[in-house]
Amino acid sequence: MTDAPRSAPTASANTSVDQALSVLALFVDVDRPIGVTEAARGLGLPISTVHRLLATMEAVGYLERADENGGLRLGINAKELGAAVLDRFPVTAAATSTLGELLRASGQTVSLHVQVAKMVVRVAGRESTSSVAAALRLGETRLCVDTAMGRVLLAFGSSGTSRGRDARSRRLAAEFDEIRAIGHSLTVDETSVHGQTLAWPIVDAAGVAVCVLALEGPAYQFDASPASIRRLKRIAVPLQAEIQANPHLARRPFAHVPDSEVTLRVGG
Amino acid sequence: MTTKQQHTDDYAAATQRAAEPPIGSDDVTGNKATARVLLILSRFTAERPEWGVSELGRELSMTKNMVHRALNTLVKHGLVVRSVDSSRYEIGPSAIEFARYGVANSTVCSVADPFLRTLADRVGETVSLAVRNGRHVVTVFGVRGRGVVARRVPVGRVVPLHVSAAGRAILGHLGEAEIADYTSRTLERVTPETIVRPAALRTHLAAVRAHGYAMTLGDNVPLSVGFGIAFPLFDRDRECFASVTVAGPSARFDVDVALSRLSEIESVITELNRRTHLYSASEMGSEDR
Repeated sequence: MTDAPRSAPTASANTSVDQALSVLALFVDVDRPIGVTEAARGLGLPISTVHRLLATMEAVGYLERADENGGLRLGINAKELGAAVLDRFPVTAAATSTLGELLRASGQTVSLHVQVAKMVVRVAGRESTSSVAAALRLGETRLCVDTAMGRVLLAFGSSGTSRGRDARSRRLAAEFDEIRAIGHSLTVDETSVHGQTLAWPIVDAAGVAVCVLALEGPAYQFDASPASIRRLKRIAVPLQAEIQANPHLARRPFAHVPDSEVTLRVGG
Repeated sequence: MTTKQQHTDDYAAATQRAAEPPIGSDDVTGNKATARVLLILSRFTAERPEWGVSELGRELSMTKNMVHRALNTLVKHGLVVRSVDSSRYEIGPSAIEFARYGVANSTVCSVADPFLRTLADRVGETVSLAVRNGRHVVTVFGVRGRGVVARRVPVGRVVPLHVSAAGRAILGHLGEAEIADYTSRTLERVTPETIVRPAALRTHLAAVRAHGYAMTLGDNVPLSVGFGIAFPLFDRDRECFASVTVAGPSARFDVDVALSRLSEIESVITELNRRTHLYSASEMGSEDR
C-alpha cells in the first residue's frame, strides 16, 4: 500500500462508510436479528469485511447483540435517531392529547401524517387495544397518491390539484374535489383486507393542510356514520385552532430540502 | 447497554480495534472513518437536533476537516441535511426509516431481557418484570439471583396494583385522575401490612413518585422473608406500563443494602427506560391500561 496514491485512504474510507450506512439500511429492511453471514449475503460483500464493519458499528451503538447465536439488531443509537426525527415535526407534540381522545372516542388506531417531499409519513399515533386492530406502523412512508392520508394532504395542499390529462389524473382530480367538498376521505380495503380508513386534514389559517389525522380499523367495528364522523372531527377542532394560533407548530422541518434530494425510501 | 459517554469511550476502542487486525491499511482507514461518521451521527438527538461543524469538532475532538467530510457523507445518504440558512446541520429525512425498525420484535420481555440480566448479575439478586393489566400487575419475566437461596421469579403472579412494590411503583406513577379512580374503590387486604385506607395509600404513592421507586412493605411477602425495590418503566407516550423489581431474601437484601446499590440499579433502569421510551405499550404487548 505504500505506493498507493494519496487519495486512496479517503476513497477507502468513503467506501467503508457507505458500506456501513448500507448495513443500517439492510437491518431496517430485514427488521429482525441477523448474523454476519446473512448480512454479507445481503450486502454482496466478503464476510471478513462485513465482520469488521459490524464490530465497529456495534462498538459505537448502532448495532447490538440480539441473541446468544451472534445475531445482531439495530442498536439504541439508530432507534433513537428514528424517534428524534419524528420529534422534529412540532405538530406531533401538539397532537398528543387529540390522538388520545380520538382513540378513546373511536376505539380505533389513530395516527398523524405529514408530507415529506412527495411522500406521506406516519409520525405519531396511538394503537387500538382491541383484539383485532390496525397496527400503528410509525415511520411508514408512502407516495402521497397511494394512500388516503396522502391524497387528503394533496387535496388540501398549496398546489393540490392533479393537472394531468390521462385517466388516472382525471380520477385523482375528481377524488380531490370530493375530499375538499366533504372535508375528509373514507376508504375501504385500501391497505388491508376488511380495513377502513377515515382521514381528514388539519389546516393552517390559509386552509392548507399541515397534517392529516387518520383512524384505521376493521370495517365491521368502524362506525362510519355521518354523525360519528362529525363527532370525531370535532375532537380535533382545538388542535386546528392551536396550530392556527401558533404557526410555528405547522413547521415542516425538511421543506427547504429540494424533493430531488430527499432520499427517504418508501416502506414500513 | 451503553451510555453516550461510553459510546465516546467505545469510539476510541473501536478505532483502536480497527487499527489492530492485519487486514490491510485500507480497512483500517475505512473502519476508523466509519466509527467517526457514526459517532457524529449519534450526536444528533431529540434534545439537540442541530449542530455546527465547529461545535461537533470541539465536542468530539476532531478536526473541522474530519467533521466536514463525515457530514458530507451523511448528507449524501439523507441522514443529515443542512439547516435552512445552510450554516448548520440537522437530522435528515432518511432517519425516518429507523423509526420503522424493531416493532415486530419489541415485546417488553425482549426489550428488557439484557437489562434484567445485567441487574441480576451486578446485584446478585432476583430481578423481575411486571406489567400493568388494568387494576392489577402481572409478573411476566425474570432472572433468578445467584446462590442456592434466592427469591423465586413469580411468573404469572397477579396482584392488585396497591399490593407489592411492583404494583405500587406503577400505581404511583399513573396520572392523578387514575390514582383517584383507583383509590375510590375498595382496596383489598392481602396481608396485615397491606395499605387499605385510601388517604394512606395516596400519601404513600406521593412518596413513591417523589423517590422514583417503591419498596416492599410486607404487604405481599412478609418482610421477614424477603425484601424488594421496584422501579417504573415508561412507554413512548410517557405512560407507566410496567415495573422492574430487584428482590432478595431479607437475610442479605434489605433497605440498607438496596439503598447502598441504588445509583447502580438506577443507572441500568435509566438505560432500560431509554429503550421502552421508543415503543408504545401496545407494541410491546402490554396494552391493558
